[in-house]
Amino acid sequence: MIQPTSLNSNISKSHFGGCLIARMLERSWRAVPGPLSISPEDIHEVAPQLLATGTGALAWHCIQSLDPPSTGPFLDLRNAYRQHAAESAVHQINTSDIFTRVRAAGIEPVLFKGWGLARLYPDAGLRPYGDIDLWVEDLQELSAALPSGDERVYCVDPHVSFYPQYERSFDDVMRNSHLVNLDDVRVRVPADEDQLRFICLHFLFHGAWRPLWLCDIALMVELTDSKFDWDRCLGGKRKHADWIACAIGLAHQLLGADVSGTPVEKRAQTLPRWLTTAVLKQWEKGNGMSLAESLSFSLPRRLLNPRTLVSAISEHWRNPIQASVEVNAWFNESPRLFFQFVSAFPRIPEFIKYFGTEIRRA
Amino acid sequence: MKKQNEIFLPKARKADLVTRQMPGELLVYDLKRHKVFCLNDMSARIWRWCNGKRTVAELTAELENHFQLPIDERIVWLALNQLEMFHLLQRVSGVSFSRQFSRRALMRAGLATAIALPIVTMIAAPTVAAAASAVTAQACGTFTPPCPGGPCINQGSKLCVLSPNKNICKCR
Repeated sequence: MIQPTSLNSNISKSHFGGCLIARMLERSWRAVPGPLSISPEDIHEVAPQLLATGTGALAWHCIQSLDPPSTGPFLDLRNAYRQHAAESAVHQINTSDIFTRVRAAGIEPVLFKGWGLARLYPDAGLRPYGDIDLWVEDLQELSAALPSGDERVYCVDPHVSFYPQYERSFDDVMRNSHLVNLDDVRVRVPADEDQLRFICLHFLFHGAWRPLWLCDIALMVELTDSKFDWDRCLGGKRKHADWIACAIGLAHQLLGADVSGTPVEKRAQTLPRWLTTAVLKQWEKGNGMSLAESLSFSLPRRLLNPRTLVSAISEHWRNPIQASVEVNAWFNESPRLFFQFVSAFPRIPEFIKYFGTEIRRA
Repeated sequence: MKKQNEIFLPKARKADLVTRQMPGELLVYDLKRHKVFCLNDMSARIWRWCNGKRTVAELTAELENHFQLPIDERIVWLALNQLEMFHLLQRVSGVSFSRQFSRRALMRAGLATAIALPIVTMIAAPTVAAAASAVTAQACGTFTPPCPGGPCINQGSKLCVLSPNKNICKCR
């Protein structure tokens, strides 16, 4: 059975839920996750957030050797693992199918995230599976090669560019990419340096709301070896290299990722104070809004109710991380409120227009 | 039951199913219904042996042979009952599955002492909230349904969703 333990003293009393998520997921990406530092009662409390943000299976991986009961949230965590394990088999079939199809049409895509990341975990069931993110040169060509009508059984998320701060061209990524075996198909994935750079930026641009993304970063950092080209991973503008170093630093400070011997080791010890707090606060809050998402999906039905309107507006307020990357700011000790205001301004006219439309409709 | 047993040759459904073997259990993903089922070791064995050529008596004999224990035929019927309920057997007309093969009934009859009863459960894991990626209007059109539902870039508040009657994704 899981033995109750006292929480680590440096867990802040504020953002308690976020701290519990961090403690639960400490070293969860490793084959042997290590001792658990939270109690069964805390797992009960934090399980819904873990499940909603896709880290239920990782949590199960941490507790399964402790023979937890097959009831309540423990069963939910185990079922999340079972679900991802079954979905992984389907996702692998779909991924190999899409590569076979698009290659037949003369297209060579690069697979980002998804199976490209999941394959690095010690077990296929530890991570949820969603869209198949493909980077291609030409969307029209890809569209023509995708299955149509009744054949459509999976969701492909095509990209022709990523964030400007990624600072990598398709040709550049393609040149450094490599092929990995997936059953009988060779799947093209980016170089580890390009993948790590991408997932760090992705984590920041989405406001860090999914703890799973930080586990992905931790996993990739711990898999780096002497061949890993840190200059390539961090190459580009100094500011963006610092963002990436800070994302890795968060994996170190919040989840216990080992960053010793890496060029970001020093930065990982000295993160801006607002950064760690912003992540924990966001994890406690739960789902966040995505990059370029100006208005949340649930906004229309909430606009005309004064009580829910206040919460809708507060949801549209960018967290300090998302605001900082949206306005391309340095991650330093200066207060973030200014950046949060600046990132809100461009969306105000659209919000007012939307509000006006809803009033007229009512 | 005897008459039914003689004519019934259960056959496992294979179409639109993807399996993953885990320690002590088999996970089955139904691509048609988008459901995941968990078969414990006993039910997984019975399911695999359902090749449309073995009778229930022969399946029972296979189990006895494997476990080196006397097995009651009702245990096989319990497994078949559950497999049929979750559409994991090919449809067979003229065969009715009786409630007498419920797990509780077999436990009351003292049949769950030496071996684990077959259990098939449907996994009900909470939906994981996905990060909605923002897409261009052009990229939205290339999605294969189900559409992502994420926001469209430079399209106001439009979302990349299914276009009615067209079965394509469109910024709306």
